[in-house]
Amino acid sequence: MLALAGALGTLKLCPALAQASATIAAQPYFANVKRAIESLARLGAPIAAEDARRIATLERAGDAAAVDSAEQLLEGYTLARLSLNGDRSVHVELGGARRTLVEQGWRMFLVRIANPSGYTQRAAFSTDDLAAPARMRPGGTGTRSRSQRAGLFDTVNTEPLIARMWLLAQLCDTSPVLSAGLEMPTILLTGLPIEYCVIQLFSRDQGQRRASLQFSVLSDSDKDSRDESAREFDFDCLRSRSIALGVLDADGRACLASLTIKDKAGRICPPMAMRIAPDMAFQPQVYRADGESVCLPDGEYLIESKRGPEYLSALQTIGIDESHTRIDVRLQRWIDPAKWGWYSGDTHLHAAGCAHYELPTEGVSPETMVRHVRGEGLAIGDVLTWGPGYYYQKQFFSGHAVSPAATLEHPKLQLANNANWQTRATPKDDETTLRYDMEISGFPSSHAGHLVLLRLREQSYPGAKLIEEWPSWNLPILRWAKSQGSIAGYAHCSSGLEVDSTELPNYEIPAFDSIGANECIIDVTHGAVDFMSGANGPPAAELNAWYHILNCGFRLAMVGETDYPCIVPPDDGRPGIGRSYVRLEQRPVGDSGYNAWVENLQKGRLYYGDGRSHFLEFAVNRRSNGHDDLTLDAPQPVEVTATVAAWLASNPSSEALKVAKHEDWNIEHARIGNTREVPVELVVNGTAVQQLRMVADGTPRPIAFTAPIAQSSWIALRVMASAHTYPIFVDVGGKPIRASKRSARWCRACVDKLWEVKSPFMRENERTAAAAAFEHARNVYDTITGECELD
Amino acid sequence: MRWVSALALAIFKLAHAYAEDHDERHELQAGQRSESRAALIRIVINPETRISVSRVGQLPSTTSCGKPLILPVEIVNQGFVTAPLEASVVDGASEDISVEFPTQPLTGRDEERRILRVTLRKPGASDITVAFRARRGFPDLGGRDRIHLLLRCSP
Repeated sequence: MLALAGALGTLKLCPALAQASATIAAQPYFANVKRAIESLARLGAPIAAEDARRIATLERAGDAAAVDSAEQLLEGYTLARLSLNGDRSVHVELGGARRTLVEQGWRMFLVRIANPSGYTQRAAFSTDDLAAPARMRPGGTGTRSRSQRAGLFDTVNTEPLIARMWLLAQLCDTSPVLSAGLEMPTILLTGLPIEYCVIQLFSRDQGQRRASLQFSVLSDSDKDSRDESAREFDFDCLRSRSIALGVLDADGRACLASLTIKDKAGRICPPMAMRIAPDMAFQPQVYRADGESVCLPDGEYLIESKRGPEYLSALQTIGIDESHTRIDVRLQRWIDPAKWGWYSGDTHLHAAGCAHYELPTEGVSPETMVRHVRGEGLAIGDVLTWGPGYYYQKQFFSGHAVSPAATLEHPKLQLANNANWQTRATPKDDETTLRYDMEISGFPSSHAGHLVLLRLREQSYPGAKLIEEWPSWNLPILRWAKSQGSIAGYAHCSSGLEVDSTELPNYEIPAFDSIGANECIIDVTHGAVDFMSGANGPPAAELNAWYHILNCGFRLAMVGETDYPCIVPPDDGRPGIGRSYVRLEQRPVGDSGYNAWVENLQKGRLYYGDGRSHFLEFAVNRRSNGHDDLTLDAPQPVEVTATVAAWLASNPSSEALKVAKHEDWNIEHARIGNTREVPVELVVNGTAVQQLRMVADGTPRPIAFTAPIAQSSWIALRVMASAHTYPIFVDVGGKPIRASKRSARWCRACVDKLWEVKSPFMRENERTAAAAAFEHARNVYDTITGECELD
Repeated sequence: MRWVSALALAIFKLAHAYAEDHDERHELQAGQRSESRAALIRIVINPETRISVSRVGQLPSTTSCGKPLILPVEIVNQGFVTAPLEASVVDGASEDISVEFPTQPLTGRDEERRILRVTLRKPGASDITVAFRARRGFPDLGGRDRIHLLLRCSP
């Protein structure tokens, strides 16, 4: 083969590579290469920027020479070259990448598979003693299974098992098959003559190490039958140092913060692949407290530190070597709303169930959740148990607010894995409170919209032992929740309510074809719902239904939520992307603090948004929101006053703009042209009636409007896509708010549409009661329509 | 002569209508047969409406250029989603490749079948990525809402 390649005159290129590349079509080859390169980048180990540009150029050329050049370039990233021969025998060779691993870290490589015969079986590439410690996976083989179990071998003492393993290998983008009774992660060969996949290798240890890597191709008909070949690889495992962290808040007190650490090659450290809780595979950042540590090999690092949207993101470059083993972070705030009495909370967080928890675990503990919530500077985090993970996570429900120490939830695994970082408490830990509650998602009623039930005392619906036995529509669940003092509302309200129009208000009837505030429009007429949740969907779709409901005279809060980590953008997975600010006399701590927070949320002493705009004061004729209505004897102008602060970077980084692109609520969307200004709008009965421009430089600024009020009305302020206040209600002449016939008609039409779309999903024996509840809503909206004077 | 022309036109229209109807019925029957075949692609819509796609069967080794390749799709709908499920070619979409997927809304039932039709026009191998998304739904964060298909066609 060498002689043949030489005769063909393929210079510099490895002969085996040249021989194969001459026969491959460029389009499928580059499509596959591009995916492999994207996988490396997604895992925090991108190829060099220059090489990425070169691959893009070669892809555009799209000929055999381009394939040859790409092969040569990719050889430097390739750990192993595998050959699947015509007789189905397999062969493993060393690739051209430097076989350097990192103690306590993951390194990613390409694996090249030559498959000239075009086989399309499943293949696996693994260490000879492959196992997956510290990993949980969905139980059962059915796609419908929602149970969970630990993925470790069936043994009581797992530590000796783990202690023997110094190397883990994991192919990317695998699907499991049962082979010899075990679930084996495999890739499905495409049949291309050459294809690349990504392998991740974790070294627990440092120094020179040797391991045998094995390539297997499974038989089509019998998954237990395979052709395989193994080869020994020598690795140089770089020593990692335990780097002490100093993390101080803006007030000089120790705290917990979010740190994103990249090496000079742009690799995320600790690597995102296969992190063990509390570090998550879907986040580039890790959360660390003052006095804790990270493991890093010698080198130069770029460190970004922050603690939620009230802080400025800070960057520093640090060299790590024998004499530099410490990183100090001093956080900087641009605003502290707590000084005005506003305390932030995210009412929609999950500790399990989203696909993002498949690695490293299927669910995490309160000790992990509280670390993430503290690291984003939230005072309150509502951790909601939902369908996937329900039976496991319900153990953490106590009916009380908690603020646990942010300890490691798998200390034995960490120890066996030679991960020696110790957790540390900080003086600010008590400033963050968790409450475990429920989201009714993945339940029989979920077609009617997902409910968020806060401050539950009891989490099992009467008579229902299994999820499948819960009601198939929402009102009974809301009544049960309210009967125990819960505060209840609808999650991600825009989902299924988005229409073509982005006008506010608009009168298009949504399809109600998804999981937003569907039945809310009925339930509000029964006094059973306290809030809708937004800040994680298109603003117009979130606000339109809310405005129409308020125009009918109902009192309903809109709260900010994230639905972490289910609805987070790819580049900004964190709690508190959407958040509510609730006004209190003092910081909410313990049960009494949590009760005060949710009660004031229910009363409407709140604003919500992305945390980058703040309505620190808001009053109409000196009456603040969440207090008694302002009463006027007759129509007259009112004075609207507020103190508003907002933050926009003068020159936003490309990363910040990329994040904003994926977030519906992000102050970047409010930026006026290329200025640093945002519009502050006065909203009366759902219509923006006045607007002023404000510099978003973080300075709290007083603003004022004068607005004529002709009838009982609601008045709010907003910075579109960044923040919105709860309204102040104005009672004119003792009449209820009946702001718009068209709003009432919209609600009435939605009831009909909802019945058409949702009633088929209700159980037959519940449909009569549901029909009566819907009919009640129709009657209420008909009555309100008749009471409205204005169209 | 006019009535002869009119008759000829009527016969032509009838024949054309029959042919169209026949094609349509044939297509429908083929579709129904395909729907009842084992799915090659499985789409799971989780309770939060996130979509993940996986290949669950062997793709045909080759097809005729210009003729739609019929790929049965199984949809597991855990989110009661009744929005249309849309399919689109990611990157590399060109006149050489087209994808058709039914645009009618999902039923919301926990399982249903659809047919994905892929037409290749350029002879040889093509590697295409098809992304699925419930209309106005949330895209998946981990790229699980897309599937890669290596298909070949010959003239």
